[in-house]
This record gives sequence, C-alpha cells and structure tokens, in this order.
Amino acid sequence: MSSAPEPAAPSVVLQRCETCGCLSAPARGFCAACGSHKVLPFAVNGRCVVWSVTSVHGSPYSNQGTASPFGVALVRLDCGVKFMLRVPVGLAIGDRIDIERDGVDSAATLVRHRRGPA
Amino acid sequence: MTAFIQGVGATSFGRLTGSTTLGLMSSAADLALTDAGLGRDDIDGLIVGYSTTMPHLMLADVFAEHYGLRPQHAHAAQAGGATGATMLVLARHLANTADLDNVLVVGGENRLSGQSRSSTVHTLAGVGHPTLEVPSGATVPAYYGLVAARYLHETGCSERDLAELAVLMRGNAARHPGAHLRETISVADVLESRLVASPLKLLDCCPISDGAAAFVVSRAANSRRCVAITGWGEAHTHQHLSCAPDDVAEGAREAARLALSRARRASADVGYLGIYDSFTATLAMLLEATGFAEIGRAGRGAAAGRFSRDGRFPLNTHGGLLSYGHSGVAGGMVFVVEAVTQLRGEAGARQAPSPRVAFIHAEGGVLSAHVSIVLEATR
Repeated sequence: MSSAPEPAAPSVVLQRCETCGCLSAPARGFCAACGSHKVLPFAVNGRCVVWSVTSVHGSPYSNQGTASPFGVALVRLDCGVKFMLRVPVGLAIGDRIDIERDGVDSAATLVRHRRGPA
Repeated sequence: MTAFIQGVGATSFGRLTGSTTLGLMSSAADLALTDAGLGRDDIDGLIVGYSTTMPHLMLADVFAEHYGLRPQHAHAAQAGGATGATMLVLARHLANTADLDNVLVVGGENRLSGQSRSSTVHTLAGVGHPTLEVPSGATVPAYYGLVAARYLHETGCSERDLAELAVLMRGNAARHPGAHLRETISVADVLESRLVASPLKLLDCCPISDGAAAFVVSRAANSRRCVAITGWGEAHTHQHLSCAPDDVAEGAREAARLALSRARRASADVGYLGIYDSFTATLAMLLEATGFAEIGRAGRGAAAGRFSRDGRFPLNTHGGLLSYGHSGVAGGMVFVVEAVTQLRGEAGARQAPSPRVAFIHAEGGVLSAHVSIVLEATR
C-alpha cells in the first residue's frame, strides 16, 4: 500500500545576510546581527513546528468580522525564525505546519497543518 | 554611591469615575511629597510615565506646569510595564550624577474610565509587530497566552498551579483598602472563569484600572524611613514575541543577576518580593527566572505558603496587578510603594515579619524589557 506523496513544501521568503549568513524577519535593509547592508531575499522551505498556540476568546477585532474563538500560533522554522499567524482552533505544540510568505515584508499565511510530530 | 526613596504614595485603584490623567498624577504627587515631608520647591527633577488616555509629546512639562513645579530636569519615560521600575533607576542615576537633590517620579491615568475597554485592548495590541504579528489578530492576552502555553508545556506546571497565584494575590488585596479587586476567590473560581486566551482565563489576567502612584528619590537620606536603592539591573532581549529568544524570560535572569550583584546580595538575603504579575503565568515565570522558585514550581510554592505574608518570600502584599489593579505605568509603581512601606515596617495588617532587603522585578512588552531593583531598609 503506497501512501500519498508528501506535498511540496511551500516557500517562505526571509532576509539573508550575504556577509554572515544570518536569516531573519522582518526585512530591515541591513543585517541586525553583523550590520552588513548586503542583504537579499532568500526562500526557505516553509515547514514549521508549532512552538506555541492559543485560542483567543473575544477580541477588539471581533466586531470586524472575526469569529471568536480563533487560534493564534507562534511557529518556528528549522532555521529558528518564528512567525505568528492565525490558525484553526485545536492545534497543539509540536504539530507540523506549513506556512507561506511571498516577500520579505509580507505576513505569513497557513498552507496546511497536521497533528503530531513529523 | 546610592540614592534613597524618601517618599511614596499611591491612590486607590479601580473605577474612579471622573478622574483624569493629570488629576490622578497630582493626587499621587501630593501623597509622595507629604510622605517625604517635602514641598514643591524642594523638587528639582521630574520623571513621568506615559498615559494612553492622554498621549502627549511632553507629558513631563505638561505635568510640571499643571502641578506647579519648576524643575531643573524633566522628561517622560517609556518602557511599557517596566516604565515604573525604569523611572526609579533613572531617578537614582540623576540624583547621583546630575546634582539633583530630590527627583519626583509620577505615573497615572484613567485607563479604565477614560476610554472604552475595546479601545484599551486595541491600543495595547499595537505593541505587536505590524506585519509579523498584528495581522494574526492577537491581543496582549493572546501574546501572553502563547507564552503561558509554552511555559506549561516546558515545565509541567498546571493551570491549577497558576491559579494558586491569583488566589494569593486576591487574598493580599483583601487586606489593602485601596485595591481594585478585593472579593475572595478560590482555585476553582479561577479555573472556571471564562477563557480569554488559552490557557489564560479571566482570573489569570489583571484588570484594567484607574490609578496613580509617585515616589521621591533623593541624593541624601533625611530620616530613617528612607529606603536605599542598592542594586539595579536591566536587560532588553527583544520587543516582539516572534523575535524573542526561545528562553523567553532570559532577560529576567540577566537583570536579576546584575541587580543582586550590584547590591552585593544573594537571593537568600531577600525578605520581600515585588514581582510583576500582569498574568499568573508572568508571575510564575518571573519568580522562577529571578531565582525565587524552582522552574515550574512557583504555583505549588504559593500553595505551600512560600510567598505568603509570613512565608519565606512575602510577595506583592498589596495584591499585585492581578488584584490591586493595573492602570499602566502606575500599576508597576505600586510594587515599589508597597516594598518601601514593608521595609519601613509601616504596612499594618499587611506587614511581613521584618524584611530588610526587598527585590523588585518588572517587565514590559512580552517579557521584552526587564528591570530588577534591590531596596534596603535604613532604620
């Protein structure tokens, strides 16, 4: 019995320092680690682990079309960079999650998630 | 070199209908000047905190004009929840190096009655990063919900353990006539209160309050009621939670180490604690990072009496932000007011046995800016 092929990982655009190699978000036009101005957009694979997650009940935005409760996760890429994003309620710490980010100044968005560690 | 806290004062916290930022700040200044036995003419330095209900580019000068001060130095400070502690450290530095005899430090605002609750929550959520965090819809309780969930995951501490801290703070507030929330609560009440941002429930969160606090920091001690500022330490590890180190409370460890080492004290010398408690999880993490509880054990320590008025480390005997209340900058200042009152032996029904050394820790942002302070009795 063959399992379905693993979907291709979406990409996340970070800022990469050409001098020290540091990957970071958000974009600053320079590297906050070494001060170099030689920085370029750099795509990494968007596979993350849920570092923490909360369900938010009621919010100042709930009168702006946001249903409550909603989930917010802090997710961590392998390189250590973290992103905060809206997720379905019910995810747990350690779950695998794929995110996408199309530019160094963009918000990260959820592509897919699956329960449990890889 | 050191400097001395000569006078302190805090207004009642809660819904103070009709109050204003400048009115509350003036009331707290009156209390601190009276306590110090000083008049307006004695004040040559002024530091004020910010007010979300009265944003202004020059709040220190606005307050000086309003209250009738002509200081040689005046400025406003901003470090989120750590502002009160930061201002105390700044006042100490000014008294020591800028030839100022008496620096008045004031913070206050009508955060509860001066704006709608949703407007307050919205303003506070603006500390999030505009592209990395705010689009998620996270509120400040959500940022702390994320921190709290990770803390429980890493330490094995339970929601019930955290609830013990809320119960302790409420019990303390019951003995302070100025506290915002004084009705006794149980662990079950905390666990059954409505979810705000899991795992944080309503009673894990501090209220929004009106209120003000002030202190006078002087170059010389004029009486044995003065309290010496013997140690201070800061750490600033990040602003936004998504840019925080994996050890989110790392800054608290650094600041505490610096403050105790400057004071030439160990945690075992400390007899009173004033630890920032915007949420129960904040309090647990800070108690542990500053070295006053083992990792994951702060809540169980509270249940066993470790932080009670007559325990090993009496803690936030005014009720903390969780129950005395949180009016922004002033909420963080009341920890200092209460510590000074304890070190003088003037806390009445709330008095801890006989503390000589107090340790204060405040944080701003999401465990972003940290300030630790060591205070010592001179009596």
